[in-house]
Amino acid sequence: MTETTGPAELGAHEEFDAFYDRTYAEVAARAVTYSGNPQNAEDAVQEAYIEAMRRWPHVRTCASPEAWVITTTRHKFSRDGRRWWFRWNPRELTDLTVPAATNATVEETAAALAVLRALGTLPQRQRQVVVMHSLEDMSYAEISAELGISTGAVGSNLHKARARLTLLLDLDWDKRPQGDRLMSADELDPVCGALRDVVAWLRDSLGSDRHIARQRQRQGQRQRQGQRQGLR
Amino acid sequence: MIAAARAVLALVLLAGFYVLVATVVLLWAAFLVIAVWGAGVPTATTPPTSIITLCAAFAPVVAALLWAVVRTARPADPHPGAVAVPPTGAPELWAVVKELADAVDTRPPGHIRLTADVNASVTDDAPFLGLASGSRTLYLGLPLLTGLTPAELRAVLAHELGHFSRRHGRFGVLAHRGAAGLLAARKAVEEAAAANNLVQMYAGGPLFLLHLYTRVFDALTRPVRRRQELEADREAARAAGPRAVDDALRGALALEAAWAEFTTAHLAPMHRAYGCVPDDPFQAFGRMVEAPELREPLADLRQRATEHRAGPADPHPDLATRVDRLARLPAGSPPPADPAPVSVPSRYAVALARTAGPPDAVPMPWRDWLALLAEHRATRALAPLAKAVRTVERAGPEAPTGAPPTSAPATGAPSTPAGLTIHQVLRLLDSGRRMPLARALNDALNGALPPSGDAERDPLGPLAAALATLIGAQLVASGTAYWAMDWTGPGILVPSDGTAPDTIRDGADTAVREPGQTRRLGLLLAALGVDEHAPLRTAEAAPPRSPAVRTAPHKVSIAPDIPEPARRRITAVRVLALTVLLGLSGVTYAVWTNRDAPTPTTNRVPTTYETYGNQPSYSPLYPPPYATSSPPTYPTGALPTALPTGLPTGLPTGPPPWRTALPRPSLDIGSLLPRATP
Repeated sequence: MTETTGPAELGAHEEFDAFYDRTYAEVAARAVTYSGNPQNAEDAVQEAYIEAMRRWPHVRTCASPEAWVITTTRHKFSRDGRRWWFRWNPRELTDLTVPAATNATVEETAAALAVLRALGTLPQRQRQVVVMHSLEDMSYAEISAELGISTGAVGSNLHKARARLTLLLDLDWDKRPQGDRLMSADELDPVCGALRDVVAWLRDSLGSDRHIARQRQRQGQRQRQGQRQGLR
Repeated sequence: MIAAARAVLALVLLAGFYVLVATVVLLWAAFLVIAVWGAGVPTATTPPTSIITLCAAFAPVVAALLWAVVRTARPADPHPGAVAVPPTGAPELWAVVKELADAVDTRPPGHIRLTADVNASVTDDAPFLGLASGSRTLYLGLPLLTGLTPAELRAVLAHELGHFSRRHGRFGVLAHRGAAGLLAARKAVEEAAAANNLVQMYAGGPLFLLHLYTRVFDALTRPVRRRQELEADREAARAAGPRAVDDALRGALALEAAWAEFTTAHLAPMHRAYGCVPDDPFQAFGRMVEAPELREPLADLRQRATEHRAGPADPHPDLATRVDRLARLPAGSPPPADPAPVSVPSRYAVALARTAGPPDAVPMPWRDWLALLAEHRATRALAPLAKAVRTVERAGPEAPTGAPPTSAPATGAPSTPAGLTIHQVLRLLDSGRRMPLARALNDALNGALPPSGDAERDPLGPLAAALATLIGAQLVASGTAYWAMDWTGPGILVPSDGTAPDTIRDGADTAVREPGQTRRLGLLLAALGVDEHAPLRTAEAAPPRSPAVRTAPHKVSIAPDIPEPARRRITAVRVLALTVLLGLSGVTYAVWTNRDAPTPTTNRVPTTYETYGNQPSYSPLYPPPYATSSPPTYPTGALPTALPTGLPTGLPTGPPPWRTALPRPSLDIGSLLPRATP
């Protein structure tokens, strides 16, 4: 076995595999936060990755291939959102579960689940707008262009969604004593912070889940190989 | 004089807030009265439904406003996560505070409470709507106490006490009271609006008023508050020296960044990984701030602190302005050259960490925690290395001979380095698979550690470092070395018997970079007394671990759900609105039906009248008795012109007008239509 393969000679296929491994958890976490339905999110993410693989020479030259996949995933949902049958969303028929993160503390899990469940009570449009604005840092103009609504509607949806989330999660009551302080603390927007925490938690949960699934797959393969060898 | 004028301004603004709330409450009460009175007016055709709806929608808004006033009018509750320090508990701190209070010419605070913020503040829980002077509390963040020098700490305390100096008068307390009341009122109304759609439709008006008044309030008070901050800085400079105040301001900003780094990069990951926290995290933070490798970044933070800009709603001026004003002050009397360090007994820090920290964490002595942290940071690369070794072994051309690596992951968590041996790595290197191993390691590291550009330039570097770490972990496990904490990178291996740590790193580097040179590393390992076939024992069983952290992976539902506290609040708003709606509807309906008891004659007359009404020639036959009912009470002006309006009344009490008013429109149209058609 020779040792001449350098990093520059990595095959495109291998490179894409590494890219998929590295970015899958993040993309899937954002997709679940955006759509609220883990199964739809999984489907859309897979479609986006297939698309990325098809155009890999173009995608890999992007400033951030990861952002390309995330945007493609979102476009998939936005396109679906305009279809009427997408509006009919029988909650009880779908499997709205995610694997629990193995690497998070109990409070982190509780907080993330509370945010995800509260997001679920929002209408789909409000959810999309608040995630796009607070998580993806998109401007009103970008959101309105992507969802096909006016900027005024973006603002109104965003305001309603933020007010509702603030109420449901009891986010920004100032619990500190009012008084003369030495200096003012920089505080992150609470809705924004809650959404970021949720993505971090989902990244952990979906990443570990995928790992376990792969292990099972490999074990199954090994068992099958063993059976075949035994048959011979 | 200026102090008095400012106090009057704040008093007027605070009174304005109370007047605003009182106006809204009175308006609501007026609408209630109008609803009931309007139903009782004899001309009313229905109960006044729109006013009833309005009252119901405003009821939660009014309740929220009243609650906000009551909440801010009584003395505020102390900070929930703060720990009080009595004068007997920390005599040094109290002595310094009393001395500085004398220096800035005010009385010392009644309470000192410690918080986990990187900040300090003073409050005056003024009773009687903020008009009287109440007991004062000084809040001091423990990260400041451990991270600042004694002179800087004195400057911070002097600044806070300077807010109570005589020149500030009552303005600060009153302005705070008003700002807190306005904020609480706005939040409460917004919350009520978000909880109920009916309330949301009507809450725009009160919210607009509140927003407007907040703008006025801020525009009038903010310049004064900013000036007062500068005055407090000046008082502090007089007591502690301008230089110390400058240092303290920059230092506090740098410590804020450092504390954020400490909690996110050290406290939280350790809690996640081992379920434990230090019993006194502030001591551990003190160690971090004093670490030599962090001296330069912290000095840089202090240097760049003046770039910090104040937000538009910030009562503090830009730090650059504050520093600039301080530099212009005369040096004055030199502050005490070397003030004694101030410390607080450890039991208060422990109590604070218990109340402010995560509830399920297991506290452990902070020195042990630091040692564990050093080991954790040093051996972070081992789990990816074990994963990479397994991957490459499985994908290798020949079937893996070692059974343990393939069977290990089936039982344990996916990423434990347990069972990894140095021999496994060396064998892969010898068999010419170092590039696949390095690539697999870099991929695994990409997920576990923050990405660095080094792996692109030097793909073998991480592998060499990981191998050195593995050797180091075996040395530590055998008890001949320990990990020293490095706050910026992975831990540093300190061998005890005089071996230079570079020897191990160089040996590992040579073995990785030059094919066929693993034998020299084997010799070195033998010299160090490390068995390269010994499986790695992980330290994860040693630290205390809460059982709830590591559970078998299971599915959790994210079906839409409303948290219980929010559900209670929504229900409360709904019940209030619904109670007012139903109650007021009932009352107004009762008033409306009983507004004028109809006599039997009035019931009979219209029925006889209906028989006439079917004939087209009805309107000339309009009987005089009905015309005598007083004309001004007719709601519509469409009286027939032939109607003799000014006739003397034959009957003192005519039938109620609603009876006559009802059939009239059909009569008028009927009489008009035939005339229009020809």
